[in-house]
Amino acid sequence: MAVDADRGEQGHDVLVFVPSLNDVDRLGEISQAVVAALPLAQLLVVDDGSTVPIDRRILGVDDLLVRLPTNMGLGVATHVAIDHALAYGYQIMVRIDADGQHPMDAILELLEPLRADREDVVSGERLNPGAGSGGLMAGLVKGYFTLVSRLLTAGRSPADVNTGFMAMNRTAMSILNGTNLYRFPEPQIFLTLGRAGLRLAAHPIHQQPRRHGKTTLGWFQAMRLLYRFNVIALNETLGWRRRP
Amino acid sequence: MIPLLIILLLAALLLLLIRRGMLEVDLSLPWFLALLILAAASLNRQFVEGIAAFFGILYAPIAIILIVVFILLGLIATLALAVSRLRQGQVALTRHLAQHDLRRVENRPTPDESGKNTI
Repeated sequence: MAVDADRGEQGHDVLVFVPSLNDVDRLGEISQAVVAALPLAQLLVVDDGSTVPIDRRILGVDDLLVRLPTNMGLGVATHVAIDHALAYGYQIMVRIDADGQHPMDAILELLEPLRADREDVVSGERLNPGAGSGGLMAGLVKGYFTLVSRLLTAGRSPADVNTGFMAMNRTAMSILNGTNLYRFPEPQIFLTLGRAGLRLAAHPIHQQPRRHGKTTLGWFQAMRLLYRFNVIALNETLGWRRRP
Repeated sequence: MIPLLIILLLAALLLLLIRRGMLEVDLSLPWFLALLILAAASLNRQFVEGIAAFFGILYAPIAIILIVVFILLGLIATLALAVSRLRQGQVALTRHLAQHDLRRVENRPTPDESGKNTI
């Protein structure tokens, strides 16, 4: 039993999923940080059709890399990771962004409530979300997502539903497996899981400033997200979500 | 006579597109239905007058515009459904392909395959 607990602490049943679209600069660092935090965890990088395919050599020897044939969006990349986690019996999936903005030392704090079976999903609630801000419009849209999510889940949804830093157990993965996750699926994930009655918790984190690239959320995208989120929220409210 | 020739020409064009594999047989059905309706409208005056009377349109030829609008809406709806189905198929295929690739690099059976529940 002690051996099992030790292996659990080292993350032998944890899949760390990193979606990447043209974000390669910090993947090596992320790989090393994951090994440092959870030596037995499996890192899975999903290359969502980057213009230049990710070089396998920047990752650790045991890390998994899968390249999607074309850019399918974060929703499909998440489905790929969940499919793999469910197929190979991983108990917990952690999601980290490839831009290196998430504090890697917080992974263990995300896992602890899941291990203790106190929560089903734990997200990293950014105390400084402006570090990756897409401007006023994106801020308003994200604020709206949070407000509606909290209303529709009776406050169970976290205060930051746009964070890409999260950990979830198999129950949450199974529920998401029965839905269609879209591009920028974070608010959809929290709304769906909150409506399904799962226990959602948030752990405060300080997001690192973005070193490379810029946020992909512009005005037009924000409008599309707004429309999509409203349709999903309406379906959730009416109970028309596809069940797993 | 001329309307009939035009309708036949358009029908032949549709058949040619199907024959050359440029149009899916399933997706050609709404186009043929549209042709049939347009043929009825152009060859049979009573058909147009009947529709105009049904919808309370005083000037019967205006009914043709209504028919065309309905046909276009039907075609757009069919295409939108087809594109959505195509996208779902593309997603399913991508997920399957990714799992296939991952299984190759994992180089070990899934718990289901090995008869175990834990890794």
